[in-house]
Amino acid sequence: MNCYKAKRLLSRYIDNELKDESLRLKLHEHLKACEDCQREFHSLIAVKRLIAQKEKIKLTKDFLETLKLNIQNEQAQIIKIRWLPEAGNLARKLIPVPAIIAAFMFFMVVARLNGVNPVEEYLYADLSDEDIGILSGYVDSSELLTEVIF
Amino acid sequence: MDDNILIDKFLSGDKEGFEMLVKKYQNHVVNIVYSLAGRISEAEDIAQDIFMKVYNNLSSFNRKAQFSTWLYRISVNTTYSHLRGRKQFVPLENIKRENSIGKNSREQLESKEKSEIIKKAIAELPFKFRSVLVLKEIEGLSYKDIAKTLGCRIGTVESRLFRAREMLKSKLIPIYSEGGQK
Repeated sequence: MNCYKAKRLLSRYIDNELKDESLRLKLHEHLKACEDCQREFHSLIAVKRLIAQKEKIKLTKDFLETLKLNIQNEQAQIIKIRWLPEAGNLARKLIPVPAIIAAFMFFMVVARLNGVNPVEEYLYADLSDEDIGILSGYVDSSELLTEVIF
Repeated sequence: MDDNILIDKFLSGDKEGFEMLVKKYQNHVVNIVYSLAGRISEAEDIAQDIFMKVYNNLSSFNRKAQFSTWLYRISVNTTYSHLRGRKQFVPLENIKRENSIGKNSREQLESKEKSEIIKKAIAELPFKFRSVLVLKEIEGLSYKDIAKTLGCRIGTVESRLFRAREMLKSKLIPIYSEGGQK
């Protein structure tokens, strides 16, 4: 076994992940014979031990209590978010009705104030003055009818 | 109690099942996050976020893998997203060395200082190496479980671990040399 291969296997070896017995034996033999790889092996062990000394955190029961509160708040928000579009849809359906009525009433009032009867304007828009007379009863329609026939 | 029993309990409407899962894994999760992110207060916030995700998605956990594998994957991914948002690593606190200190407090200080150096050395590793190292050294997972957690091959775990240790070695030499561990 050469040094390159031995060094690649050292990580697996110190992690107890080198299951192949023949490879383990070859690595042992190489380590006995090679000072450089021995140094590498000891430095890896030292690093591993140092990391194991790293401080650990231990959470208190406050963590769970905070989590429960966070979950409650999130669920309340979800309900709110789910409810809002439904309310929005309902509003979109209902708001136009009074809005259209209000706009129509406003239009009528403004038109009346300007001396215009918008309903009549609309109804008689395509009729001539005579037609309007007939419809209003000012002109005798039988006269007009005779005129057209003969 | 077995994780699957606790999950069933939760899914059938008993929230105690979830609470027991949290109690069982909260310290594991927070230590993984702390080792990856580097700050205690931040680690607790991220851990809260992780368990919220678990609460919301437990019904979609398909149980092909172990619950812990799924949980650790969420932990690593959530921490990564958090760190990406942060963009840079939090500088570690400077530890002032005092001259007039007793033996015990000096030892405590040295121990704390050592811990900070280790934390900083880990923090400076690229995330893909750091996550493998943390799952191995802090959580003690096997190569196979790390591969499942991170969704990579065992060979990738092995080579990342090798490189992570090579990087750490140069940074930690001053400590382990002075401790006579060489």
